[in-house]
Amino acid sequence: MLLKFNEKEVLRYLGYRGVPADERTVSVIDEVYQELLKVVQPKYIYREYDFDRSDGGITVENIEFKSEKLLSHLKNSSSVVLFGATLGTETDTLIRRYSVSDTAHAAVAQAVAASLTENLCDRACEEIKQILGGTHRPRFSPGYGDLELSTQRDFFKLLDMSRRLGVTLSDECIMTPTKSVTAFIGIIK
Amino acid sequence: MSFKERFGKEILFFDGAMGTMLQQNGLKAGELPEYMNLTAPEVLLKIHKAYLDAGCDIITANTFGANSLKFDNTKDIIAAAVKLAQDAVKNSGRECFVALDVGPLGKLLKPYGDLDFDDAYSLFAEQMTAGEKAGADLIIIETMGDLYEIKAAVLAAKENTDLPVLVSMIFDEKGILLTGADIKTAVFTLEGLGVDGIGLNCGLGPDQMLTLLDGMMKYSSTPVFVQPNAGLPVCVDGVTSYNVTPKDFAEKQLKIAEKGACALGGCCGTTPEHIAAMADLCKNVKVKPISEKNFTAVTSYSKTVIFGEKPVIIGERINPTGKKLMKEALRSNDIDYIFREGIAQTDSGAHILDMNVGLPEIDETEMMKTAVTGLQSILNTPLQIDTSDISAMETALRLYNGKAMVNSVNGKRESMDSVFPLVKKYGGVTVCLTLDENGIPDTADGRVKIAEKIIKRAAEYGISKKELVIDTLCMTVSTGADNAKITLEALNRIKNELGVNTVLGVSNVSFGLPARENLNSAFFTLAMENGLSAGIINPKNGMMMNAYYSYCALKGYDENFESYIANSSAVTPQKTADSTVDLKTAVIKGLKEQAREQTEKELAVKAPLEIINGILVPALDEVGKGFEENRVFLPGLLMSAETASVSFEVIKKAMKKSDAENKNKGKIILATVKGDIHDIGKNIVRVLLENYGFEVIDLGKDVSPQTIVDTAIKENVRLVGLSALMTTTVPAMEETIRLLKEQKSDTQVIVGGAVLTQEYADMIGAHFYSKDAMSTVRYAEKFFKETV
Repeated sequence: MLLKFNEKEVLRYLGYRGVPADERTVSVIDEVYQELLKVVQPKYIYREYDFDRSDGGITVENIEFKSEKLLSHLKNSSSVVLFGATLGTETDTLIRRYSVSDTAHAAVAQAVAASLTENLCDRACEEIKQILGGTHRPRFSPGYGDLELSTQRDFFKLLDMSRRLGVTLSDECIMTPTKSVTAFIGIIK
Repeated sequence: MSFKERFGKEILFFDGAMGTMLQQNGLKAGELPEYMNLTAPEVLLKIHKAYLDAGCDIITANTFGANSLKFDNTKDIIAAAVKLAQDAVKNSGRECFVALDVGPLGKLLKPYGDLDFDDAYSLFAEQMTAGEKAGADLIIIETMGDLYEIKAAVLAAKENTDLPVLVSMIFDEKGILLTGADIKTAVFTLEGLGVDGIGLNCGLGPDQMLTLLDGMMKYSSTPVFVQPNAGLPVCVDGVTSYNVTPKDFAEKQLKIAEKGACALGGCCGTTPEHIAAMADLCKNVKVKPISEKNFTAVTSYSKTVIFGEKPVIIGERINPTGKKLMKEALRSNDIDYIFREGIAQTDSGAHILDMNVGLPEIDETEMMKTAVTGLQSILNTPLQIDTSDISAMETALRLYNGKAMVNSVNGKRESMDSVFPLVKKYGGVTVCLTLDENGIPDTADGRVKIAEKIIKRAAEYGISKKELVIDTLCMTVSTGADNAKITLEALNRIKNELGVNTVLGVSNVSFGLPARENLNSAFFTLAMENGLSAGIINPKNGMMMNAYYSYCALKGYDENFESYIANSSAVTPQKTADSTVDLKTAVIKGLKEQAREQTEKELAVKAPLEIINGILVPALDEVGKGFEENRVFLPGLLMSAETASVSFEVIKKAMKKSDAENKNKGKIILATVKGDIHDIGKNIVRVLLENYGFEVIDLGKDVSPQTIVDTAIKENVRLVGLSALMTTTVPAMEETIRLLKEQKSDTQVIVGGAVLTQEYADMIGAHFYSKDAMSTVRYAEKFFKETV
């Protein structure tokens, strides 16, 4: 899958507020994008589950995710997809490399990679929708609203993230590789 | 017969999936399967029995994830698992081996993740020791996706047990591991570590593995085993399943065995029926012992360089000898300087980087540790560990991710007896200098004899000659007209008569003579023509690289002259530099090349400090102001900062020591706090502060509160900048501030980062909330003005 970035999004990450980017910045963005394309290993996994509603949360395969917001997000959903995606480890290596050799490139790479991650998620979710059918709610990730970041641990176990996707969690529940996403997606059928 | 006596010589069968079977027997999603060793032993006995009845020769104990990151009672769980497998074997009355199964820890090692190599090693060591004690016959380290984690596991197995060690890896369809290694890189690295078998498992079905097996068989001199899934996973109605039937599975495994795999098994989705069909169909396969391949190869975590085909470039620049700035960088622990040197050489075409970080006044082992792990976190260029300090060498080889090059051993008994055991243990291609107790022979014959002696001694240590490259030593021609001739003759004979690869530090030849690069590049060409496999040179030198690319083009090593053409456009002087751009404009516009040129021009007429205070600082101020007023944005601000750094670098070279001290406006510690691994914001702040003349002590990321306090005390620093990106790490920030107030109360703390606000900053007791990089600079200026 040839990932694309969203220029507006990238500029927003870089602090531009509605101002068009100058030529130099645009050329750095393009250069960095080409380099990123050489190293990204986009991958995603998902699995659809039945879930139970409980007081202030949902339960998937006997594991409870406490969050009023998630519960209301899934109000009309009949099932839930657990979704994980990543750009892979080499993306982080390139960003680290830039942060030594040229911080302007590093900042731009950070922004472009974030946008590529979004693009991967959007396109993956489109594919999932084609396969599963139904109406798909927007992605809802651990750490949003009242869904504690620590719920990543259970999420990772359920989806077998480290084995299937190569994404792991630090003690503080930060994902590595850093350009990775986990999310719940409500399915309305 | 023991496992080692049979493995690789006759066809052997592993069992199939454990997880799939456990799920069928009551294991729920999210539950740890290894608990069942204690809570449901009858289930394990039943599964083992089914596989034994299917005809397995090796069954794996249920210990895949039994490590102390997940369990408090790892040893009990492993002991129970091995005992259950042994009981099942006993009950069956068959002869069968029991394997301790070791899977990944589920956490990535640094630099990708947050687990220390040494901690990973300890976790594995506990498993290995428990497995051997419980009576396992072999260890199988499986489903691994990270070479570095494999290295920790293999070392843990080999240093703590006497059991045979098999390793199997999970590749994607393109044959790439999670952390980027391809098949040959994985094979060479594992062989360097001396594993007994190399395998493919999980992730793919037999069809895909059949394709990947070609690569394995091409490069491996170690027996190969294959454990596919029952096809690729298919998700139907939310349930993952595997579609390859036992009959198809068996037929495909037969093809795999005929291609050379000596042991077969199954992974996810395979059942006793799959294994029974496979064992039945493949039982008469005759295993041919795997042939010895003749590659001289070094690797990083994702890249392989093979010697003996096209000549290899080894970059020589990370070495303090004769380099003032490198020495200074090593003394002041300026690791980034070393990193930039590594990046520049790689960008200039180096295939391998020599790394020598020894100075009498620094702790070389510590520096080696930092430099090896740091360089490998940003570059996948393989490294050549260059040191005469055996402890530094061992540390580097242990922590190196891949199979390194080792520089060097020589014909002295003592040298060989200290270096070869390390190479045998960790793997590596060793540079062998043709000198010994009697010095450097002044004949080619003498040098060839020493090479033969080294090759023989290496063989006694079990190191094959393909793991050696001989350096026939290049003496300067100014001290002896025959010197180059002797070196070349020795080179030729070693390559062609002994069949061993060669290496030379090329630039010694011209020492003491003018226009050295003329001689060096001519000599380099002669050496390549006489059998030089690798030149240790400065890849940033245009003439040397011209010689290299021309040689490759003329000898047919450069398809369509691609490298030659690409290089010839690179060396054409770029006259795009607009001479009308002055230094100030160059900095404001972020034009590095022009800034370099203009700085040199300015240096001819102005004093260094005059340039800094009269041009650079005003230029930076102008950009900084633009940033504050939303006319300039982050990339522009950083490009100017990077350009100013280039200019500073030029000035620094020209500066006397006293000037450098004058420039220093104050000392600041920067750190990303404990638990946080995001450091880009902090790095941006550092570059800006340095540009404004502050001395920055950068402690990096994930820094403990006490380290920050200790450094502040030791270096007497009164301004500390802390960065955090995650809400979860703000408490670590608060703790750091609390400790500083307690132990070094004259220190002020600036905080910044995505999650922080003025309110947060006040709450945790910070002195200043910095909303962006410029505001840190402004605060630092004010702080030091007021307090000095």
